[in-house]
Amino acid sequence: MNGLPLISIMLAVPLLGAAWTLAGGAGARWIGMLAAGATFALSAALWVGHVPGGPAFQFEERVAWLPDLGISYHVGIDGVSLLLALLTTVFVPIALVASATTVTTRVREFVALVLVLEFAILGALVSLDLFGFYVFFELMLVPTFLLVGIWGGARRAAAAMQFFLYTMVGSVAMLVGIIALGRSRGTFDYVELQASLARPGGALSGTDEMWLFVAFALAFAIKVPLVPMHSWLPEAYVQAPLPVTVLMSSVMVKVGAYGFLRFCLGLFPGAAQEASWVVALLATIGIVYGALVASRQRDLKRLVAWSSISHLGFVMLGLVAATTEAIQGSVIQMVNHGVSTGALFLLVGMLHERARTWAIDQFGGVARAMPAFGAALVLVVFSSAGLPFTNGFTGEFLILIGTFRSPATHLQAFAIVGATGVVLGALYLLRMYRKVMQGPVNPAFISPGGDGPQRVTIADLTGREACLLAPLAVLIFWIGVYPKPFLDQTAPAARTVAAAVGGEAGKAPR
Amino acid sequence: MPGFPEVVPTEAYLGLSAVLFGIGALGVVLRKSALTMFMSIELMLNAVNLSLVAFGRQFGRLDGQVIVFFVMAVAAAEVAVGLAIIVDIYRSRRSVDIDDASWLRG
Amino acid sequence: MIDLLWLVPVLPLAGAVALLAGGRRLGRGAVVATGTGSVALAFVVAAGAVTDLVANGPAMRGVEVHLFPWLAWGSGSDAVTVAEAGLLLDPLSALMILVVTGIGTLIHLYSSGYMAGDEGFARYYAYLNLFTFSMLVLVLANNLALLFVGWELVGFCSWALIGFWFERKAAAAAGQKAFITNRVGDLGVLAALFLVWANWGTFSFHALPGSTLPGVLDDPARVLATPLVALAIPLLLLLGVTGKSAQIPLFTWLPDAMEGPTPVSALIHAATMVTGGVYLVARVHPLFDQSPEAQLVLGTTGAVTAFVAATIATVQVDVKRVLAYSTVSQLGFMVLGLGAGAYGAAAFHLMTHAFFKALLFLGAGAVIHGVASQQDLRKMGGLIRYMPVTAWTFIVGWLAIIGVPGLSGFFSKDLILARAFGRGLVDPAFLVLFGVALVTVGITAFYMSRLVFLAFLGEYRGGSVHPHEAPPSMLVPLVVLAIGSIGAGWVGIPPFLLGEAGHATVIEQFLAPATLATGTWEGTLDHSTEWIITGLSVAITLAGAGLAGVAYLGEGPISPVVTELVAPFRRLFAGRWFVDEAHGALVIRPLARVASFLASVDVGVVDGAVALVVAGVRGIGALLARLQSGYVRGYAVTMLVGAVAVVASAWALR
Repeated sequence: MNGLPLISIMLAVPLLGAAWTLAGGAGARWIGMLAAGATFALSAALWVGHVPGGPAFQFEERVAWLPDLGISYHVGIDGVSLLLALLTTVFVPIALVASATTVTTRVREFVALVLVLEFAILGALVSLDLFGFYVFFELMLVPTFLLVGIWGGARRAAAAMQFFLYTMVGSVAMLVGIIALGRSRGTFDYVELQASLARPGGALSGTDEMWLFVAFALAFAIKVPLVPMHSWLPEAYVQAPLPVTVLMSSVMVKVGAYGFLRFCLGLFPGAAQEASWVVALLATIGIVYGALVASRQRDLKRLVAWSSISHLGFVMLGLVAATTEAIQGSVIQMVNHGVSTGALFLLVGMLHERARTWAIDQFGGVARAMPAFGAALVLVVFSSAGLPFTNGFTGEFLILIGTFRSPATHLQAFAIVGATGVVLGALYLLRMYRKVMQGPVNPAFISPGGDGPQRVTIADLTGREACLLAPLAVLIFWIGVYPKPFLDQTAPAARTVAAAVGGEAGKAPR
Repeated sequence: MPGFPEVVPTEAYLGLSAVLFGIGALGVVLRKSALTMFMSIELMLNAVNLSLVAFGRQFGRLDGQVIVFFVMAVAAAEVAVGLAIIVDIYRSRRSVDIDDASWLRG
Repeated sequence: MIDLLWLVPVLPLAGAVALLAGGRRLGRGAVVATGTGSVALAFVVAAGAVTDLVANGPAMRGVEVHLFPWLAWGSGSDAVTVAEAGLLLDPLSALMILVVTGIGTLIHLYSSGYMAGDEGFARYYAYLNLFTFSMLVLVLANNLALLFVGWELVGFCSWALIGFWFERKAAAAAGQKAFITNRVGDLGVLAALFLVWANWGTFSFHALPGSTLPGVLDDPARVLATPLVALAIPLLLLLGVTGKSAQIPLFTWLPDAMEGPTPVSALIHAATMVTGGVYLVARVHPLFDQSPEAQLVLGTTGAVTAFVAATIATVQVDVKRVLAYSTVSQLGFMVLGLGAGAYGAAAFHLMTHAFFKALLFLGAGAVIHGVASQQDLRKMGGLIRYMPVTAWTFIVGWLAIIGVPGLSGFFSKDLILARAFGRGLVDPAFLVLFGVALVTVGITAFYMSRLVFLAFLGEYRGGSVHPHEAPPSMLVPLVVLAIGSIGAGWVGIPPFLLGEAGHATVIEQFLAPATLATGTWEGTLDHSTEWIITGLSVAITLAGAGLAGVAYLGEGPISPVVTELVAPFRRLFAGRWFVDEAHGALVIRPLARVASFLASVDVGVVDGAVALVVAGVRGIGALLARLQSGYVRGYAVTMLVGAVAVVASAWALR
């Protein structure tokens, strides 16, 4: 196991899978599942091999690429990127299975694009070279654009274009920052840059640091998204085919939050501390704004999209709070959001498949017709609402107590306002559940049986769908009841960042 | 010295070259016919040739004359291609008025 | 048996999981056995553990059982524990687990009869078990974060159980209302948790200043909260108590919760969940003891709630609604006791109330069951002839709640009154609250007597529906609870009634390690004062009951003058003091308007801004595209000018 370049193999597998899918004939889905499964196995191996107390970055590989410019192929993982990589490799197979019923044309290209997307996302997560990170970050846009633009809904072209260009603007700003930083220090390598910035006399000047922070932060703020740069999200999520929506919300946007943690907080801690008020303000606005707008949505998919914006506000809030527990909460919440929101999208997608509509008004009393589905939806809805002993509580609670405590950044007020998010979140989620699942059964789902019993015309969860949801349900409880294994892995990274941005006071509670 | 044949100063050549160049430039800009524009371009090229040779003589080097050969070769090639295009345009449009050929409008 | 303490919450959980997974395939009997059996077994273990605790000796401070690290990470010196999963057994939690599992078992048994015909039988028992598990987590938790887990989980279970018959729109709405209202209160608890974390860096009950739990070090370096924080934490917790224990202004969910099956109302809204707030205050009472101002707010909330709810109950015609408002009112009494610093007395009333309120609710359920699901008091009457067991047990409950001497309610209610008065000698505001509470005792007697007279005495007004007695599965719990309603009070007989010296009752002494107020709050009452207080409360009780008898037993109408006098009050009470309407107007509708506004803002402004940028870029593009005129001479001019410019600037800058 040691000595094998596991990360590079993990990157190569989806890429090769994509190539094979395009080249081969039938069985594209099976090839895709094989590749995705192998990638998952590799990431699980990384999990097993990662030692929390060991070096900051493990499984490192470095190969010189453009040495004159200081660019190399440098990859490695720490607890945070490991967790997010696992999230990715878990969701790609889920998305592929979910696509069995929703994507029926040009399957080969679809599977190949999904695998390329996986390759790009994983590459962004493991890249320790700024240039490499940028390449992968941009690379993520291409398959997404195609996936939304080709297999999407009625307004897919506009949605894909808006998503692509909007994200691009941020990326360009980040590119300027990368080049500025890299050229001034002579290297694009993350580890070397950190060392260079930490050297006495090597620090950036205040204004320089702030400009660089803003440049990087803009790209990630658009990706996450941070209100008010969220306009691309609702339309993109709604127009995209369901498996792609799941991938986008559960996995792709996490790269933005991850980038913020790794680069903005990791390289520019001083600026991060100064800017924390602004970020916290935008994040808190996002929590409340997202929840309120979600409560007014009449379209199921759009409601979940807005809930996504609301939940991600928590993530960003925790990141700038600069205490260990807040960052731990943020990272675990990135995973939680992926699991819960992904499950929500899958569930509403199942409703859509049966009823051919996303409109909430068209449903009613579905729990009577589909009891197993109802149980699953209850679990996911309350997980999203942050019920304790589900994953949502673990993340939100750690974030909020950490934000309140933030000795360096004094974000107490934001913690309080953010806490109201738990009420607002429950509001729109429960309302959605009530309108869709409770109340008298909509006659469209029950055919009158004449003299005999009524026949339910809407099918309950199939075996395949249950298999899709099972791993997510397991994670919901696991992270809710016994999150220690996950928190152990990410603790060293969280501690380091908390200390860097928040000072020693942020590291541990009294 | 009286009676000794005076060398024509370089400035004279440059002056002539400038005048020729100017006439050629005006010709390109002000004339409508494509063929006239081409002739003007030729004029500009030859004006440049003249100044190159004059400088070559001033510094006593052959570099100027060598470049002239390059310029003449390029001019010949360019004229060949350009005239072919103009003939083609004339065949379809029945006119060599350059203002009519604005199909590459953005 | 204390090391088996973990079984107490886990047994019901196992039952819930089993029933959720396979309940529909099991027969009715198996479902009942699993559901009731797990809780009954938990009761046995709990009893054993409590016996062990008592056997520990007079210290009996508390035993902690550490289960597993929950929100924690790292190892060795790097380990950080935000909260662990651990249990604490001390006199207070001992009382609670016995109440929860004991009364829970009876209600599980009762449900086998009440819910017999229902399609969702297994689902019901699963939820009941899950609820029992959640409540046990709440009361056994050894730290505030885990307590909060139980706190929220009971909220979830009440959503599921109130909305059990979810195909009824009213039930679904009631469930949602309960959860959301509770969540608003939970904000207070959360904020208090933030303050605790920021101040002490731990949630463990050990760390609370002034805590008497074993293992606490008197460490002068441990900083106590600043005065502002000392005031804020209890007030924020009070918000949570307001939500969970249905005090003003967050009590509106409880009456609506009557949409759920009656045994659910008995369990959740009489005996257990709503008492969570009372338990919380008693558990972290050192935090309240630090702030007399907060205690006054707490006491005032309790007294006012008790009064208001009692008045609303006087005009309700649905038997369950009367009991619902009665619960709110009795909870107000408990909260008043907490405010007065009499945590033991409040816990005592919690226990007796669990018995007689559960009895009353289950009795009401038996009545409803017997008159074909009809709940209107005006259509009942004379039921004592048709369902004698139900009627007599209900009467026992009635006597207990109004505080007839000798039954449990008498002792617990009077204890609270005495403690409140005693506090009033030190803090005069409490004398006012005492007065309000005393008046409320009278009103309680009135509306409960009204309920009994209208339902069980007089002539049957139900038309063609023929009432019948409930099945034994429902009657046995009623009888058991009746016995409890009589006997549970005897642990709280105050010394003055027995002619002994001193003040503390047996129950208060038992609970003292957990509930003794830090600091002296009470003026000492001499025994003659106590006799007077008791006499007053009995007198006012008799007056209330008598008034109800005159109004509802006799056939003669009340004089028109009285009716006129009462009319405006009638409107106020029947309108439930318009609290629901206030919620709607002040919070719910403005919030909805803001949300709609934001939604349109998003479409208009935010998306509009993006569209503006797009249009701008397009415009510039179009403008620049005009340079591409296709006009060759123009290109030529441009090239010329450009070349000249370049050469000139190069020459000028050389």
